[in-house]
Amino acid sequence: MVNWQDKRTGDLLLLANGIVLLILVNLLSSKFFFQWDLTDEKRYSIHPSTREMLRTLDDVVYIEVFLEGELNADFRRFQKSVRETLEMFRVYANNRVQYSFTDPSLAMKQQAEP
Amino acid sequence: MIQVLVKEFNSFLNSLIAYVVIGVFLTGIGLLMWVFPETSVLEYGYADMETLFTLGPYVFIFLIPAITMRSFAEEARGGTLELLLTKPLTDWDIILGKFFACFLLVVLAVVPTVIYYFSVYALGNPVGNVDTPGVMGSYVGLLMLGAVFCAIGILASALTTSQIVSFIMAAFFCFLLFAGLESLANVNVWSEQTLFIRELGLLHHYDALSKGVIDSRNLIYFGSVIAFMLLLTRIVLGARSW
Repeated sequence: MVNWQDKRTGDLLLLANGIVLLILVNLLSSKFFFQWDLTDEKRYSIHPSTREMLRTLDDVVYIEVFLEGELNADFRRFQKSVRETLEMFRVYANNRVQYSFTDPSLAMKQQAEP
Repeated sequence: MIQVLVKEFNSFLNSLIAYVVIGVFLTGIGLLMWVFPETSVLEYGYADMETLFTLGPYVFIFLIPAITMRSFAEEARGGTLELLLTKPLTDWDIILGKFFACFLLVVLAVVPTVIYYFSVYALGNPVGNVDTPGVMGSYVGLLMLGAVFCAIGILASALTTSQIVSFIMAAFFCFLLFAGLESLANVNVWSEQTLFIRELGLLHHYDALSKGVIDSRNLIYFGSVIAFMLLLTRIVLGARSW
């Protein structure tokens, strides 16, 4: 028989409840989230029609970006913004957009692959 | 909670800790940002503050455990922890008081770097050509990261009575959670789970904030890590009387 008055049981229950609650909150927040775009021109907000298209993709889209390796400052910034946009597409498309970055000098095939 | 916060924060200001932490942080970041040619803004040629926000977390990994290492470890070793626990304060009062005192010190160290923003702003061509939203988002991320590291440090401090053990554990856990999971995700054995592992780490959420979009998912993630660490601290403290 469990002694519910025991401090140890209480503490362990608190821990278990806390963990479950935190996991639930995070799962819920991954479905229902809001974004507050600080930029003036709403640079990072995706247009509703684009979002609609991403949501209704029939099949997985693989994107391979040939932009990797020893890049100078300009291209590093460019690569970062391309990556951010693709990452946002992936979230809105429910993982049906997959992407990878490849160093063009090391690329072996001509076609993108998963 | 307020009493503990004030007492802890005063003890930072009365010892050398606060001045050393703030001094080392600003000197280190200042050198990286303006002097060392590999990372200097002046050499890079773009008016942005990438250096502060990519290297700041690594400076934090060493500084924040040094702030938090004494909070519970010293009290336990000196025998004053019993005294504190018998005061009419709940465990949460003590934990949150110590946590916010450490966090306040971190905020105090970060605030002077706002000057860098104005310097970069003036250096831009044309003047003012800075990604202001990105900088604002990055500051939110940096402060959240500081708060997470404080929570980890508090937990490490409650786990042991030795300050040095506490420092090393805290620094290791901070590093593991910040960059470790990200690097682990790059090991080529996870296939489908790669992204999930990356999302467990701090770096993913920190980067997401740095582009200038405040996303509720990232804030909730940071909040849950802090809550989890403080909850563990509460359990560890409670376990003394099991």
